[in-house]
Amino acid sequence: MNLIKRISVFFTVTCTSFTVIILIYCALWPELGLTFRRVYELFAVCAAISLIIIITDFFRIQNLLLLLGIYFIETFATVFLLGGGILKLFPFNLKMLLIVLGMLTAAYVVVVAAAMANEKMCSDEINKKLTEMKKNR
Amino acid sequence: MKLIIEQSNGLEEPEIKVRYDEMDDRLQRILGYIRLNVHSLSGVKDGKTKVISLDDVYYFDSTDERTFIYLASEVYECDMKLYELEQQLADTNFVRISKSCIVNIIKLDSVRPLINSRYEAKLENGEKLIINRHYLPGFKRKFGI
Repeated sequence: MNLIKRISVFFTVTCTSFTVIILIYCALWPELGLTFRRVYELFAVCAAISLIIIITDFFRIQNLLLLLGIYFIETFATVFLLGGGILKLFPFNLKMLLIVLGMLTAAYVVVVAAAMANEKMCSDEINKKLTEMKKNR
Repeated sequence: MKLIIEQSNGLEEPEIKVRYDEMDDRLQRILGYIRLNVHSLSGVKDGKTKVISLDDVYYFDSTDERTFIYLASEVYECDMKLYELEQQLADTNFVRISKSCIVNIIKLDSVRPLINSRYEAKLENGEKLIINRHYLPGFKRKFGI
């Protein structure tokens, strides 16, 4: 994957997950409101996760379950260390842990669904070209 | 596109000469097909060696330092390494799809996306192969995507 492609993936994943997180955050805590600072802090967490996932990609881990496990641990650690620890986005307790876990899962499902939709369009185009190639043989 | 076929005396072997102004997808496909038919390799099965046309090859697979040639329903062992094949077949319809596999895209029936940016490729003989995410960009490039 070249640099431009990686940057494109970085922004796609960051913006998609950021949108989902903002929507869930506003739905769960409408009384808190979203301050200017809070929006940037949430974006920073999403960007950090995307960056770590892209760095993990360099290691070319073949085992899918292992890779998903590493993604999960990285995401969880980033949210709790950066989001909970440094940026103080939420207090550390079991309830918050479960809520954040739910938010992460929702964001992950949406990002994967968006990526799958994109790949589906690509595979449809490839299948179309395969059909044309067979006709021309 | 014009097709000119000439009979010429005194040639040691048939010659194919392609003249073009600009290379396009169609011409590239034709050249890939010609390259496939120009090259052949030998495979061994049950102690017998057979010359195999690349056009008949579905895919190459490497297991335990050994390389195998997969045809529609037969498997032969090849004395070349997968990276050597990859280099030799760079301008043909073959493309690397995983650490251990090179597939002939002409033999693909269809592809479908899987989770985590991988594809499943279904071959004309019904076999299914996984296109690894790291080889996906190269695979897509073969189709001009």
